[in-house]
Amino acid sequence: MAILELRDVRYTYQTQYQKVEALKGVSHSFEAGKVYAIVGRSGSGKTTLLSLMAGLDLPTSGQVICGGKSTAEMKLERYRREQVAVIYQSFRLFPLLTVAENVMYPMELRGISPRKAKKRAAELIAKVGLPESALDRYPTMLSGGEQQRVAIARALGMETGILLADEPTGNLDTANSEIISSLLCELAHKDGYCVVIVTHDMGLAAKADCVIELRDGEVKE
Amino acid sequence: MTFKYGIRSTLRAKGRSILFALLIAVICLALTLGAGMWFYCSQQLEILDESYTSVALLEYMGADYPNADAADSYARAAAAELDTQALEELEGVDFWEENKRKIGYIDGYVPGGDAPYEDYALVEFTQFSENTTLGTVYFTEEEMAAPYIAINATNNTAKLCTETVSSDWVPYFIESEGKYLQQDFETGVYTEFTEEELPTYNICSKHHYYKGTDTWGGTVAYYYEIVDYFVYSDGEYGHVITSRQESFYGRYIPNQLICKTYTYDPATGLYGGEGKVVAGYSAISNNVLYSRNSAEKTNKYTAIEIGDSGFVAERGRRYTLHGKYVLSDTGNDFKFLITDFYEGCPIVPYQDTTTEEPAPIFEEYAALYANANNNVAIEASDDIASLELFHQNVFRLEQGRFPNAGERSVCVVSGDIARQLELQLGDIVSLELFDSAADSRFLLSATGDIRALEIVGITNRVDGYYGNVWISAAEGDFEEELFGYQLGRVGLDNASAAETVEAIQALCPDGVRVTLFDQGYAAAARPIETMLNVASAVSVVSALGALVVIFLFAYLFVGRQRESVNVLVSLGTPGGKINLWLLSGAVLISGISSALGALAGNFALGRLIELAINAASSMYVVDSRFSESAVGIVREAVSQGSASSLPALVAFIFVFILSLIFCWIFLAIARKTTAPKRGKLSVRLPRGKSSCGGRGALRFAFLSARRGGWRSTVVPIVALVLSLFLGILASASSAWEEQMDSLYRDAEITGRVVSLNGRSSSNLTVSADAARSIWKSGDIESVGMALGFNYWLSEEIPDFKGLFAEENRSNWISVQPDIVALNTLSAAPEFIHSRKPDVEWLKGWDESFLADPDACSSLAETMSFREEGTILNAEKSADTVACIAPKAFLESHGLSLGDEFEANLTMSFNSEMIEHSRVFKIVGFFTQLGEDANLYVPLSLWCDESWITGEEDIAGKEQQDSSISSVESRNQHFYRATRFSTLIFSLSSASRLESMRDFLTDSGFSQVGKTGSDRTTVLLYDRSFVETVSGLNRYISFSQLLFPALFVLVALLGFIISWLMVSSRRMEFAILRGLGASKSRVFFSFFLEQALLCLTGSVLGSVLLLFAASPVTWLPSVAIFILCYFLGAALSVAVVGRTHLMSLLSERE
Repeated sequence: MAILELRDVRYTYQTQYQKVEALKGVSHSFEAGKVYAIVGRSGSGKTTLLSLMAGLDLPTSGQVICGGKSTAEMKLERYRREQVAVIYQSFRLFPLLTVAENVMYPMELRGISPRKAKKRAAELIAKVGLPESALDRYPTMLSGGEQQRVAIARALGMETGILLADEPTGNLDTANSEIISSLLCELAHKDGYCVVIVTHDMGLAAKADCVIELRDGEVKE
Repeated sequence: MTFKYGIRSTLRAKGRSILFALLIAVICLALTLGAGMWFYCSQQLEILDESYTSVALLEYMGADYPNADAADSYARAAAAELDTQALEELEGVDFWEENKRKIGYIDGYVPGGDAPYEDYALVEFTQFSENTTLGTVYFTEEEMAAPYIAINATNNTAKLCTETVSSDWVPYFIESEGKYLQQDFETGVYTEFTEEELPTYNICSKHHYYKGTDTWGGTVAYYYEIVDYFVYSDGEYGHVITSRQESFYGRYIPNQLICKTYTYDPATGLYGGEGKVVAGYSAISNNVLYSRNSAEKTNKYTAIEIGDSGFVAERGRRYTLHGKYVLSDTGNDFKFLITDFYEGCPIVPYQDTTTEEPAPIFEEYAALYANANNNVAIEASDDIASLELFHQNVFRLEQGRFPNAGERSVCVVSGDIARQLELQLGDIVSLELFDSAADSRFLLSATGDIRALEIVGITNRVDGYYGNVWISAAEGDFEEELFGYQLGRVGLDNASAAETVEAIQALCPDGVRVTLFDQGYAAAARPIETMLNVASAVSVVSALGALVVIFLFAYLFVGRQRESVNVLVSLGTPGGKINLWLLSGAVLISGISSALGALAGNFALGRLIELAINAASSMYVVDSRFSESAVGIVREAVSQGSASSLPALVAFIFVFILSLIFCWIFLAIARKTTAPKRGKLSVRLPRGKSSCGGRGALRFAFLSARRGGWRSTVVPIVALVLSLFLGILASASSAWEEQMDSLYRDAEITGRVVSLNGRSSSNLTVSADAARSIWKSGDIESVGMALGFNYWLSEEIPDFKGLFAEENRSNWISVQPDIVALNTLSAAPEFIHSRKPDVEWLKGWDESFLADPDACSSLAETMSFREEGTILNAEKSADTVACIAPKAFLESHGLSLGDEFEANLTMSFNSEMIEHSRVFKIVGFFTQLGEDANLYVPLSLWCDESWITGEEDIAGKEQQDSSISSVESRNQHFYRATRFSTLIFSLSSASRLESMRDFLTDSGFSQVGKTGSDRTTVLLYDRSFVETVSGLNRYISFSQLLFPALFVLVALLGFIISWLMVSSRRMEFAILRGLGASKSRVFFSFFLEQALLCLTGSVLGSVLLLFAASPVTWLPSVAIFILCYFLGAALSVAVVGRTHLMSLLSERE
């Protein structure tokens, strides 16, 4: 059963100089326990598609349906807080918060007490393979792979069921890329997450259960 | 091509480019206006400074002030005491120059106007007429030993009896029978005389003198009885006329004689009777040894009055006479009165010069008068333009120039000299210097010092000023005693003149007054100074604004172009071209916008200056009615400066160069940061465990603030500084308001009645009505009044004799010191310009007795009146009058505290001179400040203070008793006769100043130099109060205007700083939003961080402020500052928070 579904999603935006039609009617279903890889050339609309799936914006037309409801009918803040978790290529961690605090923050947003959030954060950090000592460090003191694992831990902490990753290994070396891609696959296959990865990395795409190729804003079947 | 792309890439950032172009233009406009205004005001102040001269006159307020020729040892002592070195060292003093004047003589020059010996002359007269006769002859007491005075009825000559006449009978002439008869009144027997047998004496008189008592008015008086035997020459029988005459304390009043035939003058001890004596002649002036106008007085038919010279002329002879021209009785012509050369001169003032040359004394006096009368006043100075007469525009240079400092052999002459002697610039004038005697300005002696001076300047002609010569101080290398009261003058720096005058006053000895004459500089300069200050502030703020704007501009347009630099570098672009790429657009924007701003500023400057001058002038409109600050001439404000284009050019260059510099700096930084970093990366571990100090937004804010590093120190520091600044400003403003309140509460404003020119505060004639009117203003708290009467001790008055004995006596009395009746020593003419004297009091006495209405019986109570209101006589009062006297008076008269002495005083009452004696008791002594040993007695000797300050209007009260026997009626007479010589007053409160001015204006009182309907001139001593109040008012108004502007600025600053702080954290906004945080939560996360930081600084600032002032004064300002900052911060967070979430995915770090 599809946990997330795209129905004829179109997206057009206006830059300072021109109007861009980024997506031209994308439709697809995403199921739990599977890893999806969205690939395509630069400018094909991968990131735009991911941002619509992440609830960062609404499609110009068409629908992003989650749990039977279109994101247009939902409060996007709540959707982002409760339905999807996003992992960014540039990690997007709070530089002034420690690793633990970064992971705890979305939990606290959902009303979990700091004490519980802290305990859960420690579990998640362990889960993504980071030592306990990392908890009280600032993100800037960690390597790229470690920071991305913190970002994954933060995403897991949101307990959303859908993990969206934008080039999660884009800023990482090969070893770290391997660790992260394995971790994401494991989360899908073992923990039942629906993992959607936008990537250029064909190695990572190869590990996916399903590869969706975008070309000029359209899904190439 | 690089240039083109550089410009294009800059201009395509449309909004940002327009925003900064506008900002730069506005800042350049403000800078142009600020600098232009500053330049204009500086120029104006310079012009004013050159056009106006501030001078302080140092004058000793002596007894004869403002007589410029008085020889006052006290003024000389004050001049000697003056510490001129300290004076010269005072800040703001340009120069000190003592008064240096001397008498000189220019051959051939005869001044007009009044001169000391104007009417004295030595003239040879000829062709004497028959003598004329005058009616009265006087005899001495000794001569009265033969108790009869006779007038020869035949030839109408009077003669003293040299032998006792056998009887008192008076012969009379029976014209029809041609014989004389004398009847013995006792026997009734007639004796017949022929003309040959007739005795010389046909009228006899006997004077009886005794001392009696009468209870008229309950006082004691002396009486004379004169018994005259008189016969009318028309042949009627003789009869006896008896008259009784009252005297006033022993003084006989000649014009009250009922019998006019004989008079007695106890002052001279002479007895007189009607008769015919030689009074004078008529003659023709022949040879004039000296006369002020010899040309007109030669060959003139002149009436000659011999006075008491004893001159007798014989027909056909010539006589040289010493005397003076006086107005004849008809008033239309002059007559020549023969006078002694000097008092007690053994040489008679006449000589028969028919055959002999005049005696040497005639020649000597002719020379003396010529010198004294034909003198010129020489004044030496290195800054003649600042001498009072020039400074106050009495004299002005009409031709030529002033002598330069140190320049010798040149002079400036007054217009009347030049005109009379037909002198022109370049002519040489021969000036002979004369020495004055120490105690007389015009007792001259020749020095033989004759100087040939070239005329380099000629002044206008001024009525009342004759014969003035000015030379340089170097030329005036003579020593001369000080005459008059002007010790000297101080040239002042215009800008600080008022403060300097206060410092000078503090240095001056007692009795010296410092008067500032600034020609209206302060009034003209103050608005411009304010404009200058505002212009300076605008310039500085604009310059700072320019720094900030250009910094941001350079940062955004150059510093943040790292990516472009990377691309350019990666493309192998040469360094020069990279610079060109980055700089071209930025420089173009800054260049064009700053040029446009400067141009707009230049166009607006003229109009702005006009507006600003009007606004500033309206701020400085000070009511100077009756104010001491309105003394002296006020010159028209000059306005020669004009708006210049230079400031616009400077502003443009400043902004443009600044943008170049900043762009260059950021260019260097941008290019440097593209290079890979080397070296060890420094990391910092978080301290301790994570903070759990709060939840949600607050926690995030707290953590961010705590860990923000340098970024978290900027806001607290700014908040600290601003809260301190605003707090101090608020405290200062509050202190100004408090100061203003206390000033109005505590400042004492005094006023005086002065002469119309404002120079003299004593020797005035202020009527009781005027004094009462001033008091009735309702704005007065206290009033000090004084009026004086000449006094003398009986044993000191000389024995005046001769024909003019009475006049000489009156003259002598009129120059005696005064008994001054007053209610406070401050009102004493002697102390009006100095501090009160230190009085050593008799035990149990103090100054309050002067104001005590019951201190002594008044003259009104002790005088006798006629029904028509004139004083008939005076009785000696039973009570003594307490007085304070100079120490020197006590020493010279062998008196001490508690002693009593009797003194006579003279007063003018209803045009009569009344003499009166009272016994005075010395209850205190002091050191006198002037030549005169004045005594101070309670005002109640003359009047009751309540006449002026009481509810009851004495003058308006209906006269109860037409016979003047009641005290009320007499008081009315005294009230009307009151003429205060000084009148001082204090305002009840400084806040009454305006209403007092209105009252004085409405009542028609005169101001200095501006006559009103009432010639009583009032001067209010309000300069320092008005200056302080208007200064405080300006500060307060300024702060009231400033605070709102500051708060707007603070809000703007809050916005800018917060924007700078949070804009770099835009991604954090996006992450939070990406994680599903609500907008409000995101807003508060950042806003609270800014708020916490701001509060930290403000609290620190407040703690520091606690040490400086009460929180009541500054807390509201700090609170408003915090609110304004919050507002700015909220706005900036809201603006930055609008970041599109898509940037999470699209932006790369």
